[in-house]
Amino acid sequence: MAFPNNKLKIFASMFAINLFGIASIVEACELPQKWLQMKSNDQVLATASILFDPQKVPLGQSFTAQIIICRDDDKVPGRIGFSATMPAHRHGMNYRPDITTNNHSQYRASGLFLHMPGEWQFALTAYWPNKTEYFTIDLLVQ
Amino acid sequence: MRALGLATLGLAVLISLAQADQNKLIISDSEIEQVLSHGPWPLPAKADASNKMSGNANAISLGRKLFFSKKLSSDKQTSCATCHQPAKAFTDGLQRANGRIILDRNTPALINLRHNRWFGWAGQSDNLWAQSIIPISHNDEMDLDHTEVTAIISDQEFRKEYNDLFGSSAHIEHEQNLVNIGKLLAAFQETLETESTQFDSFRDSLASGNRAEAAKYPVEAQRGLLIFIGRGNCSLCHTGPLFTNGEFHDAGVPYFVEPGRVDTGRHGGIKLLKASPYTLEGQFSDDPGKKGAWKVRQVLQQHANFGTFRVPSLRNVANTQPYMHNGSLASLEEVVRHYSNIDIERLHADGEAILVPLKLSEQEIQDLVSFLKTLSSPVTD
Repeated sequence: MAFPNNKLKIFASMFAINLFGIASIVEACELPQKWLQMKSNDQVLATASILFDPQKVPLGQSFTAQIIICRDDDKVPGRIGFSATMPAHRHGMNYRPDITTNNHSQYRASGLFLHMPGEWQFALTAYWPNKTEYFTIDLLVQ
Repeated sequence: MRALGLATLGLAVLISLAQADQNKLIISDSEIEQVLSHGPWPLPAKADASNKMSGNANAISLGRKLFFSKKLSSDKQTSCATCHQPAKAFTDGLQRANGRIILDRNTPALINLRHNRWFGWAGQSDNLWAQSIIPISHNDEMDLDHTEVTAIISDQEFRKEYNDLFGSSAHIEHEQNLVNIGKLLAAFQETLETESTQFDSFRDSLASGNRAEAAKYPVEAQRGLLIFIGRGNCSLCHTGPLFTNGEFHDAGVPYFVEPGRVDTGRHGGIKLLKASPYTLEGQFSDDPGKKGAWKVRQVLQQHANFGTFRVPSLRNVANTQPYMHNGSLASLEEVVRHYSNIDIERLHADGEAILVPLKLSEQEIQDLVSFLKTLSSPVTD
């Protein structure tokens, strides 16, 4: 996958540090190991990476997630949807996350809250004008 | 003589066998981590930023006085303590609360409240002082008008202490006086906490690796605990040191109050919450940062909320009968049997899929009750 051009990388990095307080210089799509790659089963054009804060997702406390979506052609999604469910129990979160963006494919979801221990699946939907792509990541929370 | 000697020997053998069954640790290493998650206790006490009276000794003293005062009701016959009786773990032992009429729900116990995220069976309040205001002004409970509140707090019994804390009540808006009373009551209620229990001693022994001490925990309670954290799935909802996740679930208890009338539970609670001026987002919160307001802003109203109720803490549960939101189950044994034989057809059609009939044996039912009884301790203030 080709990386975004240098101008976008620098701009995105600066914006990310200012807006989202990322501790070290993060070049868009070249992410440190602590970021987790989200899975997709579709023929996708993008990759999605996520970083939870705190990194060990807590039970019964609110937390945040930073999300970066990368596409070869640098097109930014018009919007995203982000939620979490417990597929085995057939329920989701009791709170709607508050999502902000720097409009450069970087997002912050706050007010995430998991109220039950077990297997949770975080689901990201990214909407472009001509395509919608889906990503998930599974976490065991105890 | 010989027969007596044989009988005595037999009895001694039986007693010895029974004792050998105790002082035994049956929790495996892989289960210990789950057990540890139910502590430590007590939890750290943090002041409520939305209530400037939280932790204030003078406010707590005045709040205690108000809690026991019948002047806070229109008929001067009812205080907070009328339903929340100290001798009954700050509940009343009735199936449903007895206000000016029989109310729809069981009186909740007022213990360990400072750790709650939501208040009331339906979570209609996101803070304790707002919840404390509700019964004072509700027509079916203490039925006090805002203007009467100012007159009461100006009474010589309360006036000096109140004015020292807030300034002259005569110069304060009636509604603000009501909120201030809620904050005084909350400051007092925050101090009602349970002490360390037999379970906590067991849990702490496991945490420190003292298996010999942990083995003193009754083996029937250990068996009950294994059901609780294992196939009973109780700890999915009754999580952590408080033994509750603080959220709302369908426990298969009918939500019809009477023919033609239902208790909407959390669904109705969210409606009341969103309409309330007394939330952590509102002007009456003393916290300029509005920490905690994210809950009222972001809480989701879902169809599946209908008929769900807040998971109560199980600390002191043995002292707070009867049980469930409508007090329909008289004893802990009935509660356990309810879950053992639950009819999943009664559960919300588009709700969560967690509860299944446990089909417990009689011994398992007794073991689970034995475990729950070890969660009790005196209430201190």
